Amino acid sequence: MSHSDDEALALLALGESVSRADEAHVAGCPRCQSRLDQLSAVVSSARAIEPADYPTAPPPAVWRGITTELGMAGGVVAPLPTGARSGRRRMWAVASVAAAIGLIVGGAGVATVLDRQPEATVVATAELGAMSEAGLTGTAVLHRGDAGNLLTVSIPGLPGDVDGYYEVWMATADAGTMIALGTLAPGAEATFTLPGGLDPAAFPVVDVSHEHFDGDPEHSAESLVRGQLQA
Amino acid sequence: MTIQSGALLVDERLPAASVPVTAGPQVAGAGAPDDDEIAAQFALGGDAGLALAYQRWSPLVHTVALRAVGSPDDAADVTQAVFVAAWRGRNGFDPAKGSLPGWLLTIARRRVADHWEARSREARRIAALGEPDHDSGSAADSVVDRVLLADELARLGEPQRRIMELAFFQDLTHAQISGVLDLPLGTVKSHIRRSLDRLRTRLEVDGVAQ
Ligand SMILES: [Zn+2]
Repeated sequence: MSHSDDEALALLALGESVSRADEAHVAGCPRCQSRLDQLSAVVSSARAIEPADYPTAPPPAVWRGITTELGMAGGVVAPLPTGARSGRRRMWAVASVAAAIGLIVGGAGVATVLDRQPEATVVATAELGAMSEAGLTGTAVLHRGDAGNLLTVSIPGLPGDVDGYYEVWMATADAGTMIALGTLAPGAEATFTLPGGLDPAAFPVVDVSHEHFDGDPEHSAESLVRGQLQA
Repeated sequence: MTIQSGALLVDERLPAASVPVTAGPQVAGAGAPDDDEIAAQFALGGDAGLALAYQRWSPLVHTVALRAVGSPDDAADVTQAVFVAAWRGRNGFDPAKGSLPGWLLTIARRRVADHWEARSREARRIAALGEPDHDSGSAADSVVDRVLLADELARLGEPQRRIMELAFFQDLTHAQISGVLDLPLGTVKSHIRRSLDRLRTRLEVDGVAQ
């Protein structure tokens, strides 16, 4: 007889009886026997599962502990472009190119901040209206350059004696998803490189928040200014 | 065997839905990247790589730690230590040699062993005599297998998940399952074969290296 089929082996592994022919074959066939052993091991591990074995998320303090221990600034982080859909080899090639040109986004301190006004085409601008009692206002300008999209943010009179720091965000129209671009130094204008895969049209809202050194990666909900990019 | 479907179908081993990661990392625009994409992000070294890996696999690591070391506080410490060590040592992760969750669980097993090693050193110091070593190695291995299988079971669609739970936990035959769930015999058999193979593959990919 030919080898037993996988259905018969699966049932045997579960302890069910199968046809006499199958039982006789498996008993004398090393290949089917070894396959059955593998499945039986899975069954016996599975039958030992207890309710507490189902994965449960760690408490929130663990993630805060990790970012603190690693000195990460937190904030909403954006994936780097990898071109994952094009297969693994391609993905790694794209990934290393992205790394090489410094396309790094994330929390404060890792955003690429250019110290010169880039020579690029203005795509859209936003008037940033006051969102706090301080009454500060500003502007945001979206440029398209050779290396991708750049966002320049300027808030005249941004105070330097801040308890914490300022962070620049791009958000969806409903502010449901926010991406931290990086920190904004007081009194300065800063330009941020947007993540390569990010469509600025999907994140038209520019927001600058007052953040605290508390390790909390989320937006503090203390917005200073906010506005919508318009072509 | 009499089958009273009402009581039988409620299995205390069912987890209460899947537990969301509360106050965890926030990743922009990341719907549900697949495991390869997460591993690629992780290897790239951007903050999002760590955040995605944490979102996807911290419940696994945490539950293995919880089951292997017992105390919730120690489990939280082990989980934190695993992700910190993994991130600092990410250059040692080679996607060609294994899966990222498999690698994280390898680190977790080492941390669990360290935990028991420290405990038994402490015990020896206090008792001033040799304590039998806690058999942390094989215990942690079987914990890893059970947690991975529980995770994969929870990821099976329906009716596959229900079928496998009846087969594993209620010891029903495929014919009985077919009656309880009112599904054709052949359908139940083929779901059992495919699901069992999927569970086996999960152990092979992410489980303890043999
Ligand atoms: Zn055979």
